[in-house]
Amino acid sequence: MTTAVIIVLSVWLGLSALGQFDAPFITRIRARDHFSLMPRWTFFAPRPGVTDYHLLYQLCPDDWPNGWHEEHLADPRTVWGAIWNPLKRNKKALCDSVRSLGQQSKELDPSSLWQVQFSVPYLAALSYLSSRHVSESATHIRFMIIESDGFHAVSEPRLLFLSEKHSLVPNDRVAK
Amino acid sequence: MIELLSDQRAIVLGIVAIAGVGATISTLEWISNRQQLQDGGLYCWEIVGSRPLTVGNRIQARVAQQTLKYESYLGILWTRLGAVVSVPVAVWTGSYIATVLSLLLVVLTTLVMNVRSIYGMDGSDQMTTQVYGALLLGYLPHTALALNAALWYIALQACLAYFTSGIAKAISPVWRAGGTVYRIFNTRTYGYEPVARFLKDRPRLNKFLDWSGFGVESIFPLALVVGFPAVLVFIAWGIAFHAMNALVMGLNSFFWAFCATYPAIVYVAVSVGGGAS
Repeated sequence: MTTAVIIVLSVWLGLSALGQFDAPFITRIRARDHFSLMPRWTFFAPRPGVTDYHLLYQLCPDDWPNGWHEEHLADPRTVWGAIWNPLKRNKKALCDSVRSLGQQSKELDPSSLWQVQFSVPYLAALSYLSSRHVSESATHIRFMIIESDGFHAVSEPRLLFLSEKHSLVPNDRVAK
Repeated sequence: MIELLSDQRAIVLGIVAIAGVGATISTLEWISNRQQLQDGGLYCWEIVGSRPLTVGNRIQARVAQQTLKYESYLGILWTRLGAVVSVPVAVWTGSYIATVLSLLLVVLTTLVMNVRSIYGMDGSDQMTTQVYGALLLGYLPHTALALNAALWYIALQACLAYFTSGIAKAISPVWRAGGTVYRIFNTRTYGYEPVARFLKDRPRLNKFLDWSGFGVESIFPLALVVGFPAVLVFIAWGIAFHAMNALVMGLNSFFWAFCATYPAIVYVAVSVGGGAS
């Protein structure tokens, strides 16, 4: 059994080393690695995240056509955050979602771009905002993702993604 | 001193104690952020579970639907918390069965978390998976050789992480252009305004921070061959590096996940390079 364990650990380490490359067969293995056993250690490289993403939403008809609100996914950083920082994952989730949306948008031709609405990050953002901002007067919601330079900005915020307008009215209310 | 650093049980105890602090904090953070796991949350199962792996009538999909919905998953998080805390106690008491069972529970719950969380996870979660996974495998045969292999695995995995991270930055045109550390610290996501303000308009300091960061990361594998006590220079750098990342970038869990590998690195350095007692 000791030999088997040494072999398993050796193979695992070998795959971990190979996993740092972007070869097609590595990508195929990674796509099946649902348990995240193959690590990726290229932190902040080759393209580090040097911008912030902001999730904004608009309720219709209340905010139509120019009113937008920012959805704050985490509190400002504090020294205490070095010990306890539960909301960091929400910001990371938004970054991951934006990258995923961008990647999927790039892979689709313009006529198929509507398919991005069925992607997990799109649905997650829509479901999250819809559940938090239900009101009697609002019938629709849409969201956008803005990119900015951070604390000391050198350029204006940029629009990365604008969703379609989605109904907030439950089916039973429509029926009435 | 050298005897202690060559004692497998003492080294494993160091690893699981440090990793345990990180995994406890991380699990409690998930539990405190549980609102986001419920319907309408960022990680609501209705949405993150709508993947080919977890939909349909196949067995794995049905198991996933049952175990990863909010109520069951919260139970899994609490189970993980208990298991993570019990591992150092089991290692301390020297109970083989208790150690293997608690490690098994930590690994299983960690893998479940990895499946459920398709976003929001980071490098500390990956390292935690590696550390607990290797220790479980190392304990299974109940031989010193297998545990030795697990400690080597953890040390080599940590060196691979630092080396890859350093080289990936060194060959990146963005990093070589300079000022990248400042631009990262200038973001609300991974930065801290007072630090960004301090670094602004200090190009030499920025260049030093850029190059020293990925320079040391790239040579980190040398820690395994320099012997004792020279290995402590690398360990001291790592602790300072991760403490700064926790403070400035809010990457608190990285500190514990990566520092947990240091006892294994010292163990290998002592085995390979020996050292003064």
